[in-house]
Amino acid sequence: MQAFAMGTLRIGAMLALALSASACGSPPPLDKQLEAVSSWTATMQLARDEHGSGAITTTYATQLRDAALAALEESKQTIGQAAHSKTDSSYAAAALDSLRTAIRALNAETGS
Amino acid sequence: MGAVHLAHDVLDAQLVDQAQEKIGRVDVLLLELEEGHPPRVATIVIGGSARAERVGGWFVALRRGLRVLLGRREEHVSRIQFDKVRRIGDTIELDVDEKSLESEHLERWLKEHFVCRIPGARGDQK
Amino acid sequence: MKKWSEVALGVITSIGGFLEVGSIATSTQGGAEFGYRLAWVLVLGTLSLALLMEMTGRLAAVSKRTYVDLLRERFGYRFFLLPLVAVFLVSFLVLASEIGGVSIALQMATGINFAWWAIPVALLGWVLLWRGTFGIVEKGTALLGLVALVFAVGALKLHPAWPAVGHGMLPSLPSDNRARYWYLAVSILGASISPYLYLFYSAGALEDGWTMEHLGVNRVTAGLGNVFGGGLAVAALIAAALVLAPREIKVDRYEQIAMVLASPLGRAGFVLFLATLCITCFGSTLEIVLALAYLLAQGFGWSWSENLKPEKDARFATVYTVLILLAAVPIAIGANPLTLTNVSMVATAASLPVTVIPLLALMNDGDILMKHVNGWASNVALVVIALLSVALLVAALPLQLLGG
Repeated sequence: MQAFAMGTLRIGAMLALALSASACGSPPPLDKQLEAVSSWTATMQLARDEHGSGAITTTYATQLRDAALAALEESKQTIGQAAHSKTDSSYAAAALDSLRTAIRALNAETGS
Repeated sequence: MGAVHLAHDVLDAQLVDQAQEKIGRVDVLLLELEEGHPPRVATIVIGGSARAERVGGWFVALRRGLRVLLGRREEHVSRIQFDKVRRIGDTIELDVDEKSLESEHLERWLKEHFVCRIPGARGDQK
Repeated sequence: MKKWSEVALGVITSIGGFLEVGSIATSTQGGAEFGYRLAWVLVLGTLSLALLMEMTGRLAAVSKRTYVDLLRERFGYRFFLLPLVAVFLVSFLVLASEIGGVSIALQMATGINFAWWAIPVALLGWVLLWRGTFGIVEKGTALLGLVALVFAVGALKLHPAWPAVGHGMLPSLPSDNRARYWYLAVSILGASISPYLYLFYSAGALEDGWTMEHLGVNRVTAGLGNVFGGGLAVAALIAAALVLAPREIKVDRYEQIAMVLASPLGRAGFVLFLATLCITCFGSTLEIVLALAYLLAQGFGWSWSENLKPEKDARFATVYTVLILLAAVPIAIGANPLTLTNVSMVATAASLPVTVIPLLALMNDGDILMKHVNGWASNVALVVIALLSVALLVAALPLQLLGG
């Protein structure tokens, strides 16, 4: 039973170690990052529509925009490292541009 | 009830005092060995240090280390003679008063120094 | 007549208690990324939870002892330390996540950052625990938690293709993104089958003074209540599959989830989503803190009851006081609530073997249950759940690394 308990402790320690390692690893590959950026672009477009129809408050739309801005900043830092060719870089630039446009459109809608 | 299994029905069972207040569990059961007499079940022990010994040396050391860090030196262990047992059932009733038990020290200390200083703590039922 | 009101209240409690931060987050993540394809995991989780709750409730009603009492009494102190430590750690993580859920709902409503809300939320919870009875904590939050029915309304309004939903109820493999798929599957199971749920339920059976007479109430409560509750989680998954998945929106932040109801139901949906997140997470916060206090009090044989004044169970009251404030700290210093939730759900899934496997022995112990021991069907189901729990333990870490 003692071996069992020690084994469990060891597994716990490994889990903690692995979790911390996964939290500060290398940036995710390009396709994952592009997905994340376009997910935020779509979120901005949806938020603009829903704000237009009165479904969501300006307070909330502003928070969504701030979250998108944070995602944009983060991607600007890391997406360059993941883009290894010219085509990659132009994809990345286009994705970031659409996110910027979507954020601006939401800003115009909420009047900020 | 005829025979009672010590390990199955007594060890780790819930203990209550004369007033049916919960006073911990049977953490350790001791046999008394006396020259010229057969061994007999003599003592129920309640307390963290007794419990820790059941787990193993590493656990005793870990516990001791933590207590040094917290600055807690005194061990509060109750040793109760087996002839204080009044009834063995879902719980084990002892002919003792929780107020006199060393193992209830933490309960009394928290009640006095923490819980009762907060409004709304006093009384019986909510 | 009294029986029926007890049954109704019990079912409502289970419905209200099912949906909380973990199931809202993981169901919508699943729906957003994989459409209906993870619905079967919710079905599996719901059925498993219903069975585990029925069994721990039956143990308590027949033996007048809680599951924790029996873990200590029948397996001894040495073994007991394992479930004690495992359940304590994962439940604490889930507790912090629930406080995060309430805080983020308040942030969405007011614009004031979630970190500021954690301590006030914990204090309000503590006041309710200090002053309130078990009935108030359990029934009060559960009745308010019925606001979660808005997920069902939202899902129906989106007109899902029912044959496709039905298809999702059957296990299937995705063609790509397998690690992420299984990661979410494990998270969903962790969110559905939380040990605190059945520890709380079995202690609640004693708080409410259950006897053999309540075996029927127990069966209906555990069964129907969880099936309805699981149905709401499926509704959340459906709504996410129809609002988020077509737009390829992945849930990176809690803020995005509100769209799931704002889109089909407008402002009412938005407001009710915030209310649901806030109330259900708050209810779960109270349940988990109590479950943790029960765990320690019952394990060590201290005096305990939410119906007693704190001076009558000073250690019990101190434990919930300290824990609810301590659990507010990660959120108060700005930990990401969604990350915390996801990690907690996977950790919960990994912790299941130590509370599920001992049930196999207890549910077949004639000394405890007499003629109410498990039948063969319950035993087969329990063995399946036990095997599932071991699979979750083995898979949790690799999946956290690959799909988290």
